[in-house]
Amino acid sequence: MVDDFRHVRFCAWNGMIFMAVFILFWGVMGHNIPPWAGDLPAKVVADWFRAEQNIIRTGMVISMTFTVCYCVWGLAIGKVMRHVTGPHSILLELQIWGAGLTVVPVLVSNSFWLAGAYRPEALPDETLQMLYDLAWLLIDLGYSVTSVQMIALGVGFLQDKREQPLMPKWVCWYSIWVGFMFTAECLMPFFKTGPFARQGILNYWIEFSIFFIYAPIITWYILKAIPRLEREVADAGARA
Amino acid sequence: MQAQGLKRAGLPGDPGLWVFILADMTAFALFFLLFTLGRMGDPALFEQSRLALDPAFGIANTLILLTSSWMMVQAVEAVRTGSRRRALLFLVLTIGIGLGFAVTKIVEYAGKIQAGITMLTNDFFMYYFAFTGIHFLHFVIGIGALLVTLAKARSAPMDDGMRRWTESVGCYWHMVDLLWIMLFPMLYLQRLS
Amino acid sequence: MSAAVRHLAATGPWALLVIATLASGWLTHDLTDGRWSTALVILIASFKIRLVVVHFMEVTWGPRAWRLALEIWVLLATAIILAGYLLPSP
Repeated sequence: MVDDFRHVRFCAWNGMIFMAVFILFWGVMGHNIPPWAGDLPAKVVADWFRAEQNIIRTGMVISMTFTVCYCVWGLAIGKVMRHVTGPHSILLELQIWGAGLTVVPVLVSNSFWLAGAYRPEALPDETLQMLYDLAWLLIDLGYSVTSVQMIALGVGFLQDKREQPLMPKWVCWYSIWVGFMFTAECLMPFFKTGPFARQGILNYWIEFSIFFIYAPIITWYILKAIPRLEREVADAGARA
Repeated sequence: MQAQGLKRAGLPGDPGLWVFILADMTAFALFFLLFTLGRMGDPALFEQSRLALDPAFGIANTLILLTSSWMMVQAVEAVRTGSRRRALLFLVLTIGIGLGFAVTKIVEYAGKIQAGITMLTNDFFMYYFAFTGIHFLHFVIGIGALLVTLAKARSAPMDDGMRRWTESVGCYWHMVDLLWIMLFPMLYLQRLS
Repeated sequence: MSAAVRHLAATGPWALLVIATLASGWLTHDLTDGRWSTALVILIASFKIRLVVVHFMEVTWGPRAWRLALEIWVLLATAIILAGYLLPSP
């Protein structure tokens, strides 16, 4: 297969850019590591919006700008995956669309946090609480678009017939597993305390951790795959 | 014909699947821990709630899954020896018996909900519904995989690929079984002395 | 080993599993002391899981690391539940 790998490395690095920005600007500045507990009074969340509005604004502005990096990353993965599944597999599109659509809940939920920080002094406590709740409900329950990406990625790369697969089998299975594990987020809206709440050990700490481990691992193997594929394509061209 | 009884070099099934299985089992070990901590925090409430459960359902479910697993072992063996008819028979038995689990589960859940007990009732029932629910999801996925296996067994060649696929699905199904083996006494049988 | 003998090889463990399950059910009757019968029930569950791992999943034939990982899992799961049950509440 003929192909063009220019800029693909940069696109692959976008995954790490997304993670780094997300952790610092959404996580730290946005007070999302962990989030405010679901059972706190509205006043706590409201006072936070009022006291930290500029930090929140800055955090969300940068986070929103760089959210698209997740989609760019997905496209880089797709470029490599083409050489495993072949160019006609629907798994390619499922992975790319999954990555692209993941941008939506992240981007939109960030805008709710941003809205809360825009004129908090003029809004009642309950309204600010609702904006915060809205953001978390969206970012958590938008999980299935990311699951589609992760499962398609895993299933696709499992088809690799190379002696040394581009993506090790255990990574493929881990990807599929994380995609399924996300379904536990369905319990989140029913609880404001305990392990299933948005700040809970399962629905926050475990779910977000298994995701945050996932991205660097995939990025690592994608970056390693690119030079291998460049050689494969060059060899095939030389033989032709 | 595949040689029976010879030791194979590796684990049955796809090696990567074991990562999935171990990860899933780790998740359930965490669930066991969460439940245990919850129970230690309020043993009286947990005992009172536990008494609302009927162990007969739990025992029935255990026996159903054990028997279904046993059928699956035969199905895997049939694929290994290339016997298509036997494979089909045992797969049908695996699925048929396994579906009994769904029946009892639905009856049990329906009974609880009609009695006004949901996962929001208290911490015990939160864990009960969440963990048996997540387990049930695993069960449903397993039935799906078994149905795919059945379809493959009807027409696909009984080759190495088919063997590996069937072994993999078998291992996943046994995992569903063994998780329930621990869930059952943990939720239903821990008596306050 | 013929197919028939292998068939029997799984039947033995299955029968044992069924008996162990029924025994667990019996042990929960009020006739027995709650504390020790519950502990026994948990240990029986542990034993049953090992039967499934060894005889159904056939993990004996795999690399040692996986066998070890699964054994450790059974140990941990049992220890967590048993310890939680036997330790006095805070």
